[in-house]
Amino acid sequence: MKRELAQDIGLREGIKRIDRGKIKKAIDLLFTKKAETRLKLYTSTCIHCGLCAEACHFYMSHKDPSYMPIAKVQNTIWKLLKEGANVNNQDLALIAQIAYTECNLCRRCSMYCPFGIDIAYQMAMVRRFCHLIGVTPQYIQDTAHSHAATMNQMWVKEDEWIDSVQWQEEEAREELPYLRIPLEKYEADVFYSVIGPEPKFRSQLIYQAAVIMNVAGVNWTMPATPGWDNSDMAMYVGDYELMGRLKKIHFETALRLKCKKIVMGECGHAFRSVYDTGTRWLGWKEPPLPIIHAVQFYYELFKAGKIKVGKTYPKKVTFHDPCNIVRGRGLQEMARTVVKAFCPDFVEMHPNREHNYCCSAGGGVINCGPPYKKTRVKGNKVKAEQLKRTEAEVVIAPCHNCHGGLEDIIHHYGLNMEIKFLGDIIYECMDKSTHPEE
Amino acid sequence: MFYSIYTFLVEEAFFYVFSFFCIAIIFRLAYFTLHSLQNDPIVLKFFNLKYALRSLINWTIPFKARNMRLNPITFFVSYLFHICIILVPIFYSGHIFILEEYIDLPFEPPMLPDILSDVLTFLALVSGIFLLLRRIIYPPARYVSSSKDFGLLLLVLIPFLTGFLAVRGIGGDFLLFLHVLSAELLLLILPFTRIMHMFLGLFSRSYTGSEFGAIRHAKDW
Ligand code: SF4
Ligand code: SF4
Repeated sequence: MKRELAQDIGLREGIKRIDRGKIKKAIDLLFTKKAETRLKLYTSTCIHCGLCAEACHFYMSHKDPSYMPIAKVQNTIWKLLKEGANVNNQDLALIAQIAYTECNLCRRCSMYCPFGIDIAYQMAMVRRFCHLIGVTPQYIQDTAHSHAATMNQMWVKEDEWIDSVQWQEEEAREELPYLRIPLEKYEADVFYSVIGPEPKFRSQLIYQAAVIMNVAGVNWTMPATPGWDNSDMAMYVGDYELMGRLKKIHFETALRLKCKKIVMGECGHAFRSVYDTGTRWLGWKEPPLPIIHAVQFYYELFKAGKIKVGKTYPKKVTFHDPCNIVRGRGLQEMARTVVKAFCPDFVEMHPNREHNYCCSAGGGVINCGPPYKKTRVKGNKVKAEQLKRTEAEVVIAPCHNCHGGLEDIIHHYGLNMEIKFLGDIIYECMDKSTHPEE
Repeated sequence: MFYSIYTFLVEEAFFYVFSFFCIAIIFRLAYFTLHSLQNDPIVLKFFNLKYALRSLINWTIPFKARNMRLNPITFFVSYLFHICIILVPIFYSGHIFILEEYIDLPFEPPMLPDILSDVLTFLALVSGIFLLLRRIIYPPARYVSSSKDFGLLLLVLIPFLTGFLAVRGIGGDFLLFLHVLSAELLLLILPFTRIMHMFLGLFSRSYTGSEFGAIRHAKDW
């Protein structure tokens, strides 16, 4: 394995403050004495066949076996099992680097291993280990700190959140004078939550969502208190205690407002955290109230005739299946129904649906910041080729991470493509002439 | 001398070895099950029989899974290898005759025609060697293989090689002796090696199948 340690102060300084006692405790807890059965089972079952290699875009792009899924386990968990707490500092930093930046936890490989061995789960365990010993990439750790201090990912203050929402309401009222973004409304049908970056960088998404909600006549609300952010970098850092706090405040806010269900914006990782990982950590098998992703929500509105096609989208589009809502929740056909209704010129990319290649930004990799941009862009040449083959002008990706990742890939490989959210297309092409209350 | 050790190995030793083999496997499987109750309650809570079976079935049907279609030769040879090494030891006529000498079977045991046993043994050897070469030649497999992986595969092949030759009268009693010894050795260590994947693989596949089917509403093949 040839790897340089990145210029990341989180890793480089982290290993200087290492405490061997902590390492031993973390290894006992996660990989040996108190390890979960799954970890032991996977370690005993894997037959070292390398059949998972072609599942991973990192391997497919580099054709270097050290990037294949099982190699990542070999260079992290097996190393820790072999060397125990005496593992040297440089190796520890590399272990963190592999787990945080060379695996998107996209779970594609568990569909390729004959035994369904879950590499993403194992990498998440390594991240938890790194969190417990205090060796984590700086950028993503900063977002976790923000979560801990503000309950959102982007250091957005409470009044700033309210300001952003009201600003978007004001803007949108120029287009639809009757439009409202109801804050703190009780007993609404829909509690709409978004991720921290929306008010911070992509506030037009709140605008668009508000237009769609208003035109479709949805009884909805957003909270004016912390709990509006459904994102979760704590899950990806490995700080599950913090993840629990985040999910709890998100659920509790929806329950405080006595809403009937939570609808989440177009984000994949947040969805994974809310309906699955975080819910489980809090001890629920099912979430305490129904949760649906924007794609499903749009699909349901469309099927109910509340969203109508005003004009068709003129460009040739393709659809990128985000791992967390497709491999993670099977929303592929719902998404296609809506996409095809608005975009007559639609082409599939290959492979697609559950087998789609990852964007290489998810799993918190893009959140590890600039030191790793090259890793994820060069590690996903195969995605660029896959996109190029479609000859589409626009790729629709209903996930924030996928957006960031695909944008960098399209730019780096010189593809001439635009990236859109599903909401962008609906907003642009829906029939906005009907005022539901008239 | 050989003869008395040989009869010992075939008679008494085999009985103990085989019992040990069964108990060890049951023990190992029980360990994982009980361990999950204590240390990983999620596994049983999220286990879903319907989707576990869905996953197992779809991964058993040849060339259903996408990865099988991407790697047809490897999967074909692996299927062949597994079929041969399971069928021959159990249904080879010579083995059954020996068994009948010691135990009165209440039914007519099914047997492979000798010629078929021969062919399957030969195929087991060829496919085994293919898998061995694959470990050396295919970079991902080589990267993750340790000397243990090579050793284990060789160890599995030895009883087949010695058996194949012994049936042809090559190597005389010594080879027959080696055949029995290596097979029994294999049975002894098998429950503690990766070869347990034949049982544990069902566990992990079932769990992944449950997660994919019941929680993620997605296919896993
Ligand atoms: S990036 Fe995806 S395919 Fe690659 S190792 Fe991680 S989970 Fe598996
Ligand atoms: S994880 Fe699965 S596919 Fe990968 S080497 Fe292990 S057994 Fe083979």
